[in-house]
Amino acid sequence: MNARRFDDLPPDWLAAYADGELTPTERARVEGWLAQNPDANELLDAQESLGPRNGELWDAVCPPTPSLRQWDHTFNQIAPRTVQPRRGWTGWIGSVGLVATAATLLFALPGPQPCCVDAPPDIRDLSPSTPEEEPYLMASTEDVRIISLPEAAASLLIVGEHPMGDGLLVLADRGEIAFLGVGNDLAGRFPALPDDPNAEDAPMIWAPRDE
Amino acid sequence: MRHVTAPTLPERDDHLVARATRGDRHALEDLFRRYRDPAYRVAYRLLGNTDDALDAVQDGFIKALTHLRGFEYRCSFKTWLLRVVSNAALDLGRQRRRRDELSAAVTERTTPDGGSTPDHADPGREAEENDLRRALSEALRLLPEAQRRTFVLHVDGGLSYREVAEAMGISIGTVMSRLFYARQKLKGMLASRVQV
Repeated sequence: MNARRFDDLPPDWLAAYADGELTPTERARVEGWLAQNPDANELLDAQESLGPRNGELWDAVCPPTPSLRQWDHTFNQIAPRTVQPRRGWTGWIGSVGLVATAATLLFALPGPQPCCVDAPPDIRDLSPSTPEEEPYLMASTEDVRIISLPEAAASLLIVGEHPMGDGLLVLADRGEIAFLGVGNDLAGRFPALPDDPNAEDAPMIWAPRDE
Repeated sequence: MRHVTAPTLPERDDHLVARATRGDRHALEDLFRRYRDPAYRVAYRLLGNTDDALDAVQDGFIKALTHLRGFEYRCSFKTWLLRVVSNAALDLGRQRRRRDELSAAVTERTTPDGGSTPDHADPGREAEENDLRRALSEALRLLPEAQRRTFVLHVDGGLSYREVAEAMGISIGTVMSRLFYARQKLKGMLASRVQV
């Protein structure tokens, strides 16, 4: 770490420093920068005095506590609009009847059934047909962890290898992506893109520059 | 002989949400009790009075539980709820401004229907704290909406930078930047009232 790098430290790092949101390495970097820039302690003071760790301030200005009656009233307004009462046996009979009718109609229809398809719907093959259409790789399989993939979003979140066969699937092609803006990440790496996508500190989403 | 009961672990949020949406009123009540305080603090700080804040909490809980397709467990339920509550509070604030009632809202209203400020043996200190609360309310109101919301979700909602980023759909760098500038401005507006 040298003095030049401390000079480059964005002041908004002081917010994360005051809130304990930096890694030990990042904290050390800020502390080094503060040691070399004592004037910046005034900036830090504003961050600490209005941060959540200033318990004295937030105790003093805590909102008036609603009464139990007010809480009960609020809950009683919520409950009927979110909780659907459990169905009684008459409701289940009605549902069973509806399903049976629907099944009868479905299997009575002639020809192939529309619900039987071999592949998930809406997955487009975006394999490049010409060199000009070479896709941007937004992330590798290792870079992405899909926490939830509802059926409706299946066509929007295809990253990495095809789960059902050979060939590459991509998130989108070049014409479908527009970057509206790129902000700094916590390590201050954006908006500058790295030349080497395999560098240890390369950001997760990276695209090669147009030649 | 002494019987030792193992401590009961609190039920996970996703289990409670699932039960609540299946019609289990007890689960809904548990969720409400678990998160009503941070939701209320966020709404109060964005609106400045108890009645409106409780309306936003009510609206937020209803929308959070009836629009679960937008949630899909991509973040914690608390993050999702505070996102919806803060949206509801800002919407309510806009409606109120349109009704040209801003001046009435800036002044902290007492809550004749039972809401109470913390008890104080020292009336002088109580007055000082009310004064500080009013000053903070006014200073917050002068911040740009995005900075105000970011600040409140972090400080009053207790969300981490990552959670605020998830709640607002922005990067952690943007959270950091908004918090920095919000505090710089607040410090300037509140001058010597706020000490570390």
